[in-house]
Amino acid sequence: MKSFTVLQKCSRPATPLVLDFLAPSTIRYRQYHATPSSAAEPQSSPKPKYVLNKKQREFLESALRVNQAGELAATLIYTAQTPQVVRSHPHLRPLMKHMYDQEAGHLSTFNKMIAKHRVRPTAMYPVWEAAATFLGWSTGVMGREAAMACTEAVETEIGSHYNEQVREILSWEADAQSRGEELDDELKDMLATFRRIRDEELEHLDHAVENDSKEAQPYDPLVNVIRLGCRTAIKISERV
Amino acid sequence: MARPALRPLRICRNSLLSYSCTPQRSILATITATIPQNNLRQPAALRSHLPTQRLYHSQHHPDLPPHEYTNSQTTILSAALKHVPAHGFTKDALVLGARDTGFLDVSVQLLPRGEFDLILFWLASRRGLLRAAVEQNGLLATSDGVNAIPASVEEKTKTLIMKRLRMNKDIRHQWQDALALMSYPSNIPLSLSELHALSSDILHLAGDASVDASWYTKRLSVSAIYASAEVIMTRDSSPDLAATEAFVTRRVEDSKAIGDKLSGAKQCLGFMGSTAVGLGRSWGLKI
Repeated sequence: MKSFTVLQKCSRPATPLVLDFLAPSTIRYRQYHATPSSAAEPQSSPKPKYVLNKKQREFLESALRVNQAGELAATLIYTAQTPQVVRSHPHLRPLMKHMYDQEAGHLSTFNKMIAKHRVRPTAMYPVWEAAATFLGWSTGVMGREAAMACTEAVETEIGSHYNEQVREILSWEADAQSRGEELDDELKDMLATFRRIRDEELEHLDHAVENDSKEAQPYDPLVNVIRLGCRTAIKISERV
Repeated sequence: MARPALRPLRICRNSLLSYSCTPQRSILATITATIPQNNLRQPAALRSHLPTQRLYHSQHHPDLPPHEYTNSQTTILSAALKHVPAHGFTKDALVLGARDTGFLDVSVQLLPRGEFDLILFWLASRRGLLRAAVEQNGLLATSDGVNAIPASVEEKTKTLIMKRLRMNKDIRHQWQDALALMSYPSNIPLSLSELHALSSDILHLAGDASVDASWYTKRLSVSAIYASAEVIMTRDSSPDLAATEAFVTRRVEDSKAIGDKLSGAKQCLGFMGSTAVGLGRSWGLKI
């Protein structure tokens, strides 16, 4: 850790003395924010840390924003679907509760990440809230199969989106290894979290298919419209 | 473009600087000043001054410095800041600053936006100082008392706004000119993004962790409070900016009251809505 800061100091162009206050963030900022996990770093990892460039930071920023918006929408969809589905099919209550609980856990994970990394939440927040509630409610009204088809469509899109993010971070990891560096612990944790969440989303997809999502009427238009909507929402949330 | 062309004349009129106003210099200044602000003329760092604040932050990746000026630019600008109380945010201050640090007068051309660069630098460096005051000098640290109640986000926001306003104390009499220059149509985007960066920093330092639409409303209200308090400050003659502080206190209370009212109304509507839906469901409606 120490050698890393020294290295960084050297690589920075020498600034005049007057301006020391302008870059208060390099050295002392670290100590101020030091957490127990980072205090344990010196023994465990002698390798230099991989430094993210601007593009990678931008990628992470938009990825976290999209993920938070997606999990928000997912919790609202399940909240709106559950009463109608459970009314006619009480045996689905544990399953709906299980899926909802997992989504709520994901949402709080991403809320924490967003606050920690100072990522701007999406400006469409109220719009997504309304849209997700409407989507959940309307598919719930259409019946169990339609609700499950909705879950299937949404989780397919979200799962593949997480997959892309995991692939991107893995490519950074490969890049870091080729330079003899390694990702910092936060990124490693984030990678593990993304993988876990992706697997859980795909598990929801399996549950949906097991519960006759393919028998929804009309299956193709419904699923295609929802998937298109998801993709559009992802594209919009990446930017605003 | 009428105003930029007048700049060299203003420099000539200034008695302190008149000896430096050789014909070549004013011609050069006129030429460069009248060329439209072309993107190609500006270094890349200046073109992309904007959204550095919006990136991913992490303890493992150092924060970006609050501005993107190069070394020689920062040297001139920080020396020029010493002349601001006497000369205002003008070319004169820049020229004097360049001279103090051993640059030629003409090196003021390193700063394509002229006086506005000085203002931006002032804002960005004060923002950096505010960050340093909290993170290194423990501005917001609570007293050691066992029963000390940690200050609320609003109180911390107020403290930070006042701390930032007090930094303007020495240049208070020049600030109206700066505000006028900042409200030039071509300068508005950068001024606003700097204001956003400041309010975002203040809220982050105050420990605000909103992750929904209130992220936007909070930043808007802090920006509004700060910007209006700045105007009040320029006319405040009370000792230690007491009048401004009272103004800020009132505005923070107002915005808290409005926020509470809105969230109360929203909650009430939510309850009524869920009651209506629940009632409908209990009657057997398929909603």
